[in-house]
Formats: sequence, structure tokens, C-alpha cells
Amino acid sequence: MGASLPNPDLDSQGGQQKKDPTTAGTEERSRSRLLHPSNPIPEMILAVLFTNTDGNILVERFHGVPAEERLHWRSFLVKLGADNLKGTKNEELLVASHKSVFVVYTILGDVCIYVVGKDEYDELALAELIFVITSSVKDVCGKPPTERLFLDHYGKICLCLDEIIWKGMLENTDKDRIRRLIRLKAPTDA
Amino acid sequence: MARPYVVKKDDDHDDEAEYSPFLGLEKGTVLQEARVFNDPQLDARRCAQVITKLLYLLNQGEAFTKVEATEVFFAVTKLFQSKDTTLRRMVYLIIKELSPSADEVIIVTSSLMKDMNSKIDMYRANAIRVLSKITDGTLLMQIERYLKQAIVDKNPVVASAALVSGIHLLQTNPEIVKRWSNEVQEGVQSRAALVQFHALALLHQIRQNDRLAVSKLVTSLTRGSVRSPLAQCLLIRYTSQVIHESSMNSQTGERPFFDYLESCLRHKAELVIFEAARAITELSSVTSRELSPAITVLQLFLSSSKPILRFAAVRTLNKVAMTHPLSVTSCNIDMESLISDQNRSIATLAITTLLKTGNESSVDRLMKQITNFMSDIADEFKIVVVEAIRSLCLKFPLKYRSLMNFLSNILREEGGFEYKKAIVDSIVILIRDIPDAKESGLFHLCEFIEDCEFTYLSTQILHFIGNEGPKTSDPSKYIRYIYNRVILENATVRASAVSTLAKFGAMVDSLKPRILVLLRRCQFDIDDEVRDRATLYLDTLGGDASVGETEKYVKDFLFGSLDVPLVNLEKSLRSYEASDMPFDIYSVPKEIKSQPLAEKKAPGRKPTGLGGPPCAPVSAVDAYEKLLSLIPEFSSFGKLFKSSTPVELSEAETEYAVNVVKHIYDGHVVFQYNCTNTIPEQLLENVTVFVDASEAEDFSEVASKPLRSLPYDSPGQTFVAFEKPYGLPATGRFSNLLKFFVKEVDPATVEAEEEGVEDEYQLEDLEIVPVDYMLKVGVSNFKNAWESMAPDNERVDEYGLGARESLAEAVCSVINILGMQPCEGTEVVPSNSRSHACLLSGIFIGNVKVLVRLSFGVDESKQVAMKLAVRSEDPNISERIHEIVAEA
Repeated sequence: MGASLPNPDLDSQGGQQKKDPTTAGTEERSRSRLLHPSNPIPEMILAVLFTNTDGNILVERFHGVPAEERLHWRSFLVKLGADNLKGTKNEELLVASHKSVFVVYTILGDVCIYVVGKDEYDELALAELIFVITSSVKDVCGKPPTERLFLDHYGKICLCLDEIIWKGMLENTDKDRIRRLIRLKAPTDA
Repeated sequence: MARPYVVKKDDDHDDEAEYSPFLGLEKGTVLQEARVFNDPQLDARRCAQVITKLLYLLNQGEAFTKVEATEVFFAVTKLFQSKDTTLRRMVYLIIKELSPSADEVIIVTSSLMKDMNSKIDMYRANAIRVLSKITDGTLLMQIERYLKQAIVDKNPVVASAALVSGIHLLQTNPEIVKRWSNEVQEGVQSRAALVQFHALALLHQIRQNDRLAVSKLVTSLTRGSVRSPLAQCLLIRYTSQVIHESSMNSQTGERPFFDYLESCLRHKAELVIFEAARAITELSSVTSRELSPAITVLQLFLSSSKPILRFAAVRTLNKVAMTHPLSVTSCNIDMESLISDQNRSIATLAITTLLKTGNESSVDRLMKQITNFMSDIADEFKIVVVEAIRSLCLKFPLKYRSLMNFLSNILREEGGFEYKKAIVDSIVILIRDIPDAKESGLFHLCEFIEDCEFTYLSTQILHFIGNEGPKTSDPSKYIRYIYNRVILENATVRASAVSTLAKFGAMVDSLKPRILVLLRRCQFDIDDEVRDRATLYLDTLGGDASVGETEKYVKDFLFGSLDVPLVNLEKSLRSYEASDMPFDIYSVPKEIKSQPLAEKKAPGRKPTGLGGPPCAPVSAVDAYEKLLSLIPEFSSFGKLFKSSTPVELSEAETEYAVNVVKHIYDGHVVFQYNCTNTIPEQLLENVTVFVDASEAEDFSEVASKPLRSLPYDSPGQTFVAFEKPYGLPATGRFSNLLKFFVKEVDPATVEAEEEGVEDEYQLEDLEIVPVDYMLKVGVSNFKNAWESMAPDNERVDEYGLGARESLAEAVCSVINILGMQPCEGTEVVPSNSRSHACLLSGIFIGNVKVLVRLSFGVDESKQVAMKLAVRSEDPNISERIHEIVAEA
């Protein structure tokens, strides 16, 4: 399915992939599914990755990315962050793309967050997604987390992610609702 | 796999608090700890901690073996006994993460089914999510009833969970999920924003192949209220799909739903604004009037403080610039400030957009900015820039000097193969298209091969210099560069250099003696091929060049093409068996086997009103031109003026499918019959079309090219050529009879019988009409073009078109009769309008530019009147256009 390899050997200034990491035939930002509705491949949030500032993995979740390609993705994203996230303000969103694969990433406290998507999950949809993620993480930790704080709340953060993304699709988008959901409380608007 | 994460013990933070709670976490230990799940007295807190550790391992990419996973999974199922909500939530998650196999699922099914019917809403929602993740088809049948109920559950979380499950299950069990459409329909009307969003997505997926249903859905929702921006985005997508499909049906009339898209541009969520703007820019044959509101909002985002929004805006505008450069020029100033954007993706997109929209006066300034920019981007981006510069140079040939300089400068810098190839290709194209650029371009290429690490590029350039160099004012200056290759390079490049030297020797008499000296030295090369080539060329060139025959032969040999398609040559060579008989190049068939052109009816892609000629037909003409030029009988006809779209001459699903393409030359017409044999048991040979031109007095047949053989399902072409009065738009009717020898084929062996039978097959008639002499060529500014044409050649007249279905239909049919290119989107008639003006442009045979202004009016009884004003470079042609309309 979906994604193929990014080239970890990327341009250090631009933080862009050199090689085409997209599948063949998705040259345009694909309305293809719109125009050829029988295509069964759903649009995907391909990956969500949390690392510390040294690039060690805290959480990684892939959707529709073959196991053998994950390592490449990981090193690609970590390098992308190492090149561009230094000096970035908390929650300032950065973007990179090549053809139809998009990466939106940011830093929150000592944690770097990356989301990767394609097709419907373009830079704008990913920006929504990362906003939900950062606000939920802040909510759980009470502030932009240090590594320790993040790890202390690891279980809850996993639950948040579980509420936000489900098998590569955006599910919940409201942090207050998510806070209640992970404690198995019905949301207030119910 | 992943490095287990350990926070380094650093001197600065040797504080205890900085240790990771997962320091030194090992899989084996955690699996041991998981035994607490089996305790009769469950410690919920401790169990939750262990699950967290398991999740941590899984999220690090740690893999559990089958046995380990099964063991943990069985242990986890015990935790359903606990009533602790935090723990229960964790249990749901870990089950999903462990993704148990089908035979294990059965263990939790009953617990989950129980939860699905629980009074606690959140148990229901989560159980649904877990079940739909781990379930298979058979289990789904059992729980379908509950899922259907859950979709209409009054708790939005439960409803959403069921709907999203539906979206996932649709991939694996479509027939089951499709049965839920009534419930999902109800969900679309839900007051909860998320439920509506999920229901809309699922409903569309269920109904996506039912155009009418999608259209109804869009119609009702665009009128009603959509609660969340996300749902709004979906709706915009579905709307543009409906617009796309409806515009396929009728090209005229008002665009449905456009008002809705435009209103979304004023939505408060950026997501929606962008979605609407993109939908508008991607409408087929969008007019500049439709584009302008979208461009305006995108322009505002160009100066946003958020990189995401700048990126999204410039990315969209970049796409628009490919088709409607003029509409984007208003953003140029904002775009220029983006060249220095920190994000290189944004900067590259800005530059390439500017290169597409810039005008001649801004080129120099732009180039200066790009030069600074080029040094710090990756090859990938540089190639995009180089390609944009190439098209810019072709657009403004007068600016070749600065653009060529730019290309040669970047050619000298570091770069990979693809990048260098893009530059070299660009220079070669510029040399071909801009004669003034030739000398400097060749010089830059010579400089480049002095220090080129890519064999492929060196040989390509040497070949090119060999063809172009001898024709320059001072060919001798290239020799040094070429001979240097013989001294310094690898064998492949040396061999190419030898061929290039020979070409100079053949073309430039004054250089020949010296070239012969150089070639003689090459005979001592260590490589066979280089020596062979040197010997061969010495022999060819060494003959008495004053004899005209020999000289021509030498040039043909060095410069001529093989004259046979390479594919066929390769095939013949492969089947050639070494024997006393030398290989005969004349035995290679010149016909191209398969039909080279995609002549399937492309979905009605209408060329846009703005800008130059439509691109798709032009490339088809190129391909036809190539095909026809391979046929010696037609080589004297001159330049191909126009090729029609294929006209079917047989009904669908008959034995032999034949269509014809009409190729118009100044003094000739060639019919290209594309034939397909649909009978597996037959092989047709010597296929011709007998054309009766008795109803086409101005035409006389001059040549016919039969098709040697037409096997089953492998299309082939036969041609018939006619002479016609030079430069005149002669018309006539032709009847066609397909003639051939038919041989029976044994389907088992696919071998044909020796004996054939002569047979014939009646085809439909074919007409040459005035439209065949009109090329659709647009003008970018109709008003200017109109005014620049002499009013003396203008002919005006009025026509009554009788009662028509609608004004739009009348406009459409007149455009079709004239076969001209509508300009500035004037082919679109707003609905309910009583009058309309339409601008057309084209080139008539003899290369006469023609412009037409049509004014239509319609009265109560649907009677349409039309005023036709024609201007052209030739008053006779203006008259002729009127005749076309009068006769139609």
C-alpha cells in the first residue's frame, strides 16, 4: 500500500527529500480518488512520530507503510527535524513536501512531533492533526513536556493518539473531548 | 530495530528526575511482569503500568514473537474482570495493538459483545472500535445488528465509532456495510458535528459509484447546514466531483454549484477556504472570471505568518500558473518576497511560479534573484527551476543571452547526473529553437565536456556538436575540444569523439586534411571500437571527395538516419542467424507494428479559452507527422496542416473495426484508415481501402499504401492520398470499400493457411467538410488581435438560426460548425441570458489567421438570431467563413 521510501540522504538546508517518495502515478495532488472513485486505497495519515531532541524515538506509529520502509522513514524524519527544528518556537509548524507526500512537524517542549500524510491528508489537514496532538499532549502533561514528563504520561498519550487517529484516519479533533474519552467519560456535548 | 530509548546520564542533569521511567526496559522483563494480569486479586494501577510498558515497547518498533503476543493477549483478556475504567481503556488499546490472530479473537469476542451492549456509553464505543479492528467477515455478520444500531445511537461517540468502523470495514466487507446506508443517511442529518463528518464520508464511499445519489447528496447538503469545517471540506470535494461529471455532459450553460464554492471562500476556517479555492482552480475549462475570487484569497495567504498557509497558497497558485499564467500575475509582488523564504519548498514553488507568469521586462531581475537562490537548494528543486527557465527562454527568445549565461554558469557548478542532464537538454533545445543562441550554446557545451564526469552526457554532446558544429561560422574551433576527448576519456567517449571528428571532415573541406591526420592517430587506440571507427571513417573520407556521388554517400552515411524504426531493426537482428548471407537492412520492415497513437476517445478534455493553442491535439499532430513522414509516397506533400480526430467508419462490434483520420496538406489530403481485425480465426493480408471519389470532383487519387498484414487484434494502418486544388478548401464525399485477402487461422497453432480468398467489406462514407481546413488556435488577447487586423477584410452578416433548444445549444453548434477555438471563456453561456457574445479564433488553410465575433440573441419563442463578423488576413477567406455558416 501507499508510501514508498523517502531518501534519508536529504538536502540539509531545505529539509526536503531528494528522491520521489511517492507512489507512481500520483503526480498531482491526487484528486485521482475523486475522479476514479473505484480506487480502493484510502487516503492515509502515513506516520506519526515523537522523538526527543536527540532524535531518539519516543512513539512511532505507521499506517499502511510496509515494515521494511519504516526505518527509512524514521531516519528521514529525524534528519529533517535535526536540520530545521533548532531555534523553532514551541508549536510553530514547519512543512516539507515532495509531490504528494507531505510532512508537517513541530517541537513541543523537549519533544519533536512529526506527521506524514498524502492525498487528502495534505499540509492543511496535517496541520489540523498536529494541532490536536499538541494540544492533547499539553493537556495530559499540563505544560509543554520535558522528556521525563512525557514518559511519565506515556500511557495517557498513547490513549490520546488512539482517540485522534484510527488506522490512518483522523477521528477526534477536540482536546477536551479526548481528555474525557481516555478516561472513558462521555464527552460533555453528549 | 529501534534503539531502546535511554536518557543519557549527563553531567548537567544528573538529577534523579531526568532518568527515563523506562530506563533499561527489556522485553523479557516486561513479559514476566505481565503475569500480574493473571492474579486473582487484580491491582488495576499496576496492570495499567505494565500495559504502558508494553505499549512503549511496541511503539519503539519492538516486535513480539507469535508465542509472546499470544501469551500476553490471553493474559490481557483476564483484565475484563476489572471494573476500573482507566485499566479498561488501556485494555482496549493493547488488544488493538497486539492485533490477535483470527483463532485467538474468539477469546475476547464474548467480552467485547457484552461491552457493546453495556449501559456505559464509552464501553460501547470502544468495544465497537476494537471489534471492527480485529474482526473478520463471519464475526461481522453476528455483530452487524449492533453496529447498525450504534450508528443511530444518541451518544455521538458511539455513533462516530460505528461510522468510522464502517469506513474501515467497507474496504474488506463492502456488501455488508452497503446495507447500512439508511442509518448512515440519518447520521448525515445529525446535529453532532463529528457524527455528520464521519457519516458524510461513509455515505459518499457507499454511494460513490451512483452519480445520481452523489449529486442529490451534494444538492441537499449545499443548501442545508454543514457543522464542521472538516465535513465542509468533504462536501466541497464531492461538489467538485459532481461539477466535473456534469460539465462532461454539457459544455455549455452555467456551472452548477459555483455559487456554493464561491461562498466557501468566505468561510472562517482556513481549511475550508483552501479547499474551495483549490476546487475552483481545478474546475475544467475554468474562466478567468471564475478564477479571480479564488486567486484573491490565495494571494492573501501568501503573506501569512504561518509557513503551512504560505506553502499551501503558493502550491495552489503554482498549479494555476501552468494553465492560466495571466490570472496569477496579480500575485507576482507577493510571490517575489517568498523567494527568500526560509522554507525551500515555498521558495522553489514561488520561483517556478514567477518564471511562468513573469513578463519580458522582469526576466533579468528574476534571474539575479534566482542565482543567489540556486546555491542553497537540492538538485531536485534545481531541475524544476532549470525546466522553468527553459520554457521562459522559449517564450522570450530575445532574452536568450542572460538565460543561456545562467544555464552555463550552473552547468559549471557541482551537481548530479539528472540535474546536469536537465541543463544540457535545455541548452540543446535552446540552440535548436533560437538560431542566435547556437554559437554561444555550443561553446558552453564544449567547455562542459572538458570536465564532464558523465559518459552519457559527453557522448550526447559530442553527437550534437558533430551535427551542428560544422554549420557554424568557424568550425575549426571545436576540433580541439573534440580531440581532447580522444586523448583523455574512456573508450565510449573516445569512440563518439572519433565519429564527431569524421562529421567535421565530411562537412568542412578545409578541415578535412587535418581531420584525416587526427583520425590516423586514432588507429593506434587501445580500444577495438575506437580503432574500427577510425579505420572506417578514414576509408569513407579518404575517397575522392570531388566526385559528387561519393560526397553525398559519405554525408548520408554519417548524418543520415537508419531510416527504419529501431524496434524493428532490433527484432530483425535478433532473428538473424549468422550465415553466408549478410544481414540486409532493407529486409527490415519500416511499418510500425502497433498503432502508435492513443486514439481511444479521450474524455472530452476541452482546451481552455486562454493562452496559446490547445496542447493535446498538437502533440497528436506531432505523432501523425512523424508517422506520415516515414512513408516515402507522402514525403513530397510538404507540411502537414491538420489532422482530424478519428471518424468511425464501422459500427461498434463488427468484424473489422475501421476509423479514419483525415490529414490535410496544402495540396493533398491523406486518409489514414486505422483497421482492427476482431476475428481470431482470420488473418487479413494486403488490406486496402477502395475509395470512390465520384462525389468529390476536386479530388483525384494519387497514391495508396496497402497494409501488408492485419492479424487478429493488432491494429494496422492503410493510407490513401488525394490531390486537391492547392490551398483551397475543397469539399466532397467519399465512399469506402475495404478490400483484402483473408486467410483462415487455426486458433490452436495460430498458423495461417497458405491459400487466401479475396474479400471486401463495405464501410461508411466519409466527408471532407470546411471544418477540416480550420485549425483551432487561440489568441491570448482577442481585442488586440482583432484591432490589429485590417477592418477592410471584415465581413459582417446576420443569420436566423430558427427555434433552438437553448441559447447555449445554438452557440455550441455554431462553434462546432466553424471548428474554431473559443477565446476568453466566451463559449460558456450564462443560463437565462437573452443574448451572448462569443469570440473565436483559428487558422484557415494557407495559414490565414481568422477571428470571429458572434453575437446571439434569443426571443420569447426561442428563435435565435446571430450576427457574424469575420476578420482575416484575406478578404476571400472572410467570405468563405460566411459561406460555411450559410451552407450549414
